[in-house]
Amino acid sequence: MNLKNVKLWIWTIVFILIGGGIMFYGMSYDPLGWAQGLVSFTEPNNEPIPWGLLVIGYIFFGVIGTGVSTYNSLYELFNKNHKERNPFDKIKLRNEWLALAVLVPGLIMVFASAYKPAEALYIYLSFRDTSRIAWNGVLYVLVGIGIIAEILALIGEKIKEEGKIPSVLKLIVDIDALIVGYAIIAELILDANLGAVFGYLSTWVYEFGPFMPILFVVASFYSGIAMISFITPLYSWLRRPTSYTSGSGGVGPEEDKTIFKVLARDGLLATITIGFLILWWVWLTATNPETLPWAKLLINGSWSSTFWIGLVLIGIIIPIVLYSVAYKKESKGLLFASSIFVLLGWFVIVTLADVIPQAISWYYSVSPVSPPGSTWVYELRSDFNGVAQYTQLPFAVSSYDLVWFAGSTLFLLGVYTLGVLLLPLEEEERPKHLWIFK
Amino acid sequence: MSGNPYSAFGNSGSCKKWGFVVRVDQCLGCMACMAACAIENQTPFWEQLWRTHVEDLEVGTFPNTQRMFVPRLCMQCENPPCYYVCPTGATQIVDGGIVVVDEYKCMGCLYCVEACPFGARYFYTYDDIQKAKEYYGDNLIHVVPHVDKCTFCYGTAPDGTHTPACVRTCVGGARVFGCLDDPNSEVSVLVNTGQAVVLNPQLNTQPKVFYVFNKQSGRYSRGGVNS
Repeated sequence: MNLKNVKLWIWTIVFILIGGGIMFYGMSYDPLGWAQGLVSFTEPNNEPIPWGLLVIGYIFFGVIGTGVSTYNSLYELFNKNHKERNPFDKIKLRNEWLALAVLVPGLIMVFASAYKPAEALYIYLSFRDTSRIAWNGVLYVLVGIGIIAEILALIGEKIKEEGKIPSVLKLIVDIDALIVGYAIIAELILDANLGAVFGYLSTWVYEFGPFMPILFVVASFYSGIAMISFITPLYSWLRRPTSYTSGSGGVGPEEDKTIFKVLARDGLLATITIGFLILWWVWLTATNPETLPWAKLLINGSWSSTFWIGLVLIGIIIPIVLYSVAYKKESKGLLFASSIFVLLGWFVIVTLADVIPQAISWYYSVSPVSPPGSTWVYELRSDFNGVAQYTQLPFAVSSYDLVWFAGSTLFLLGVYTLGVLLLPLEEEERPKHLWIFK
Repeated sequence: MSGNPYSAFGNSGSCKKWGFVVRVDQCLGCMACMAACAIENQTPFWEQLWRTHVEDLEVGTFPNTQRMFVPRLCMQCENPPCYYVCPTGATQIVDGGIVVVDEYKCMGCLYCVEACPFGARYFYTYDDIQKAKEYYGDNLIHVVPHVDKCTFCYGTAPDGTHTPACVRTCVGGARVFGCLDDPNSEVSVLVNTGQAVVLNPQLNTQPKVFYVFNKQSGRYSRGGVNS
């Protein structure tokens, strides 16, 4: 074991122990009690968990995770018979592991955002097909199976190249195109369904309908490409092999350039598409008298600074400029910088599109101001239960949120580095731990 | 259906569609319904959370204003968004079209609270259960944390009457409960003659709670103005 791996083992253990420890603290050191909602730590005890960081966090990581896998798998599928054309051929296994690792904090935050996580079992025991959330539960399992199967297929492919392959893996390798295709379809459906979950709840008026599923599918590419663009240069800097002067892990410098260029090009296209969708979103809203009050909140109202700076500038304009220059100059530094802006932008999009509207009280405080001649009947929701309805589900970042967000994100780092250590993620690495398949 | 329209409440098949009418102009704002409901259903009033609540509103523009009380409760929709979004099957539709929550199946994701366009749901926390022991003794209705809502007192109204607590206690006769299948019931007459209307008909949730408004409260009817 070389020194680099010893250091990585130490970091992995630190990430998992600290991340796990923080989450254990979040359970008030009582996992069983926490699972039943009987926890004495912060919010779960005396008020419902607010719409805050956990909901944002799970959408943020969930969509990134599926996006990484979908993007990677599409290149894999469409270059199945001519691998030399796949720019990600040498890092496809690493990308797939990244997708799985990124889904982990998303799933943790889903459970943490429910008051009684143990009861989530009823999603499967008494499945309700009208519930998009129940379908989400099923789709996450299907996507997880797809990604794991794809990882096994890619490992099997490596073993096959060396000759002797365990029969279990051989079967998986034989149907790998089917597995990759299945994973892509499951992920796209999951993203669309996740968009629908929030689009059909009491959100911004203009989110009802097909907009949110489309936004989420495009956002999975937008954020997934950004995550690969974030990790690949980072990997190249941190785990530069001694045999190369530069390169992304086991990838040579020339291949690196191709990868970075493709990522910059695709990232640029995805960002432009997101920009179009946001323009469409705001345009339709602003040009409809019924929904104009909602649009005003984004354009020049209380959420305008978040919208213009967080979404338009950081999430769209800066990445478009940086991606373009990164493409032209084949610069991994600029690609890395673009990815950071996109990830921040994605965080803001999730916040503006999903969480703020569901927790915000203006919806009801402005509702009696009906436009002249309107047939929109505003409802008296604001004062029910003695207090403003949404004080029950306030938008707040509680200490419970912070603990779970920090814990699960650190855990993600640990899971990812564990994969780096245990799986043959780099091109020159030989398959390890084959006893599992025997 | 004859005699006491409520007597068969809760019995399977006796009424397919229970309904509720609120005569707004007969509500005095005494809030006795809220107190009765809180005791009957052990609601966490200390958190200002209620299964039924009376809105105290001022309608119109000075000097032409009017104080108005609008009782609110779960609309028991025939097309309930809360039911459709519930991922665990905790929200169920039982006899008579009443929407209830199985507290053991509820995982507290709160999507139903978000989905309800009438804001009729709230969360009964672990602390509320502890607090409930102080007010209601050990004979608790709510045992584990869950989302709670009005059920027309399904399963809690005393045998023999089955009338929701708020209806039994309403001094102004503002609350009327009965079977919508029975054309002669008071609720059916109010609904069928067009006197009683639902809130937010455009949402197509098909509430089974109806409102009779006076002329001053035109803002609550479809296409109404705000003053």
